[in-house]
Amino acid sequence: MKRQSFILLSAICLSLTMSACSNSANNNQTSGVSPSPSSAGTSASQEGSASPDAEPQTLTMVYSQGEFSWPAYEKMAEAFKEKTGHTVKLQYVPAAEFDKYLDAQFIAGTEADIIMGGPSDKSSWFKNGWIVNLYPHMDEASRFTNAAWRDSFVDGVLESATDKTPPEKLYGIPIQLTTVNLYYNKTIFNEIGAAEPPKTITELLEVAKKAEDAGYVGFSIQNSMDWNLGWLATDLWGYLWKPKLEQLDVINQDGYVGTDEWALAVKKGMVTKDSPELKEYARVLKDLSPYFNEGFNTASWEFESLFNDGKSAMALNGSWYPNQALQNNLTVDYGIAPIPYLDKTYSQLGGEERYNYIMGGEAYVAITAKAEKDGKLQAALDWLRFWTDPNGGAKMMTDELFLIPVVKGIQAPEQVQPIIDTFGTEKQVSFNAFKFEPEQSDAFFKAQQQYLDNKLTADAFIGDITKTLEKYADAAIKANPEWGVEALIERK
Amino acid sequence: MKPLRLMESRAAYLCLLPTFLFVGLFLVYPTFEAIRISFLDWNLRNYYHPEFVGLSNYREIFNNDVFIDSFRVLAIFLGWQLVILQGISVLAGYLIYLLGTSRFAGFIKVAFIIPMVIPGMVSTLFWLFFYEPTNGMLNMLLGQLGLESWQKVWLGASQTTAIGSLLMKGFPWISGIGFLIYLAGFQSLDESVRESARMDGASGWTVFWRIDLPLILPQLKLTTILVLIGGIQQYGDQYILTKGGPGYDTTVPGLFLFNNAFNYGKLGIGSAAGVTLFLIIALFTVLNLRFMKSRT
Repeated sequence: MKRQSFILLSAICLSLTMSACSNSANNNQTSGVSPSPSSAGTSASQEGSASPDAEPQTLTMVYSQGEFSWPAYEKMAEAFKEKTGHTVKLQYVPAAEFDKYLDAQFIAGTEADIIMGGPSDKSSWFKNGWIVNLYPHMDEASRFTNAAWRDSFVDGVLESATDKTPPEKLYGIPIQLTTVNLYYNKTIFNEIGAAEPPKTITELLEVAKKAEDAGYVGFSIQNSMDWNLGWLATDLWGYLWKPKLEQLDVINQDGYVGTDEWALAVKKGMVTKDSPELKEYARVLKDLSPYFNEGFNTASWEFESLFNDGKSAMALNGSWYPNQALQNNLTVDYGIAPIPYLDKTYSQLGGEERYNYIMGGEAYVAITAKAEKDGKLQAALDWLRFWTDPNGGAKMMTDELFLIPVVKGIQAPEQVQPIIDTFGTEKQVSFNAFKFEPEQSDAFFKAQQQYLDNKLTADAFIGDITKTLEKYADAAIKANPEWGVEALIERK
Repeated sequence: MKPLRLMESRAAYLCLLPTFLFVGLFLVYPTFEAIRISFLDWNLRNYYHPEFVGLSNYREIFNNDVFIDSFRVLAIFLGWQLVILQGISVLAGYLIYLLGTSRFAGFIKVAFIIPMVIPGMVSTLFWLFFYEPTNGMLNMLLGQLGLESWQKVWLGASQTTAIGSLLMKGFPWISGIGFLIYLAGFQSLDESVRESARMDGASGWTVFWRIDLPLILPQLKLTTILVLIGGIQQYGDQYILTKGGPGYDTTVPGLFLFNNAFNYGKLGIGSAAGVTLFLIIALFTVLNLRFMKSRT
């Protein structure tokens, strides 16, 4: 009896182990196989349009937007269910961990059907066969507008989210026009006698000094993560490199400078330790740093609380701030203005006036290849189409969250009108020569921290970030043969 | 009798089999897999087509100043944890042992043990708020005491300040499994040995240094190995409090590994760093065991 019990117990344990292992193996098999990059988009378009889902589906969507947006998303999911019968389960993941979470989910094959956010450049996701190309679906009719989906969008929005490397691809759809602006405290400005918000870097330095002299933080910012000060940097780079646009925009010739064109620029010796653009960038940051809040290199959201508490004269924030201020009953009397631009008075490389940029969006909400494999593509497309329906989700997002709409026919809230007034027709030159690899971006960011902490001189800072430029450019060129950069270098 | 014993052994082995399978699957296999991955160029771009690159990842990390410098930073943390933290834990354990079984001793024990149930993440976040430059408790306290000139950006002003702040985290550093192990060690000592020494005229210090401390050598050996293993792998506090900064000033090898594997998507480099740490830990453990054996 004793012997039989032992054998029986052992058999149960063994079978449990085996079953656990076999489940794991099956899961891996399902998730590990992915469509080839070239087939990911095309198969999506064929199956998606040919076999719409008749049965109600349950979709999962993962996002990282803060708490303020959750009720609006839930409301939208309910409205979508009412209209289509499809259920959307929303899952929040904190922004700081979001990209790592997504990578892990993709690798494990347990990703959600729809992903909101993630890296702005989703080309590697597409290459791995993790997401679908949405372009083939843009000409299909939306069940909500009864017109081609493409027609809903404001002109230029889809273009700015497009990967132009042939064949053109749309990895996701933009759902809002996000901009960053200067927010200034009107009370402090009155106190220090500043009649208007600063329009230029020269004026910004003057006003920030006045505010500091009056006992306020001139310009609150954070540099412990690569946003916020990075927003200012993006604007500065736009001015610094604009004069060389013609020499840089040689592959796509579309008025923008893509990562492929920056790789070519590095190989052509256009970005070096002697580049005046880099030296001017370092100079602006150093001149501004005395007016930043103490500890800006390690601070995170303190920059915002300093502004909200009326202790800081100016801060940079996104177009979402008016809604947050309203929801949190903030008492700070603030005004909104464009980011002060790099002017000719301050720098030879500066501009004569503020460029009013075309506002685009990035491939923000993507549909995973897993959703397609699971037969949920049509439901997922419907969800995205509902999101961009001027009478449905898009209106709800605008009303509830003050998002600047990406689709036509919606009146934006008056609070964000000053932001919309800054939109124009200029194309912003982005600077991606330090963004070929995440590791390289991090090294740039760390060197900038050390420079602003006075641990590196300007020359050492620039020397540090440029010494590995060629290595990273070479790796990017090798990893992306479709850019055709090697041929261009050889031709040169 | 013999066949019955054989059957019982078989049954015991069969019962242990699932455990062995799980250990193999979740502990042994990943270790060998990490060694294999350390020879590959494997990142998100080529996730499905990793490339064999031999020792290239190892060459890269040993030519990387951040990785090399991270060991200097680690040495500071490890030295602190091995000497100061262990020393204080031994001392605290001994003092509580001397209190005997009084009610007060019981209260002190509970007071030291309660903080152990607070998750490490929570206490680390508390220290983050404590050091926060604008509204943090430390700077506020200094302000209240009229010591404004002492106020600092504790986690970012300089390497010295940042490392110092990280070392001060957890003050008075008694909470921890080490303290319990030492206390249990002292409590298991034979009282008669101490009493004989006392009768021979040994002072309190002599009893502690010459008798009690040598008798808890097995516990010291165990905690030293545990601190070495955990210490060399550490990166949590640095990740949460300073992100390895300012610059790379508080980056330890564990954080270098984490950043490469999970932030930069360089699984080969991350694995090479992991294998290097594994070898270092193994070496230290063997040396430590030999040293302790010779002492015993």
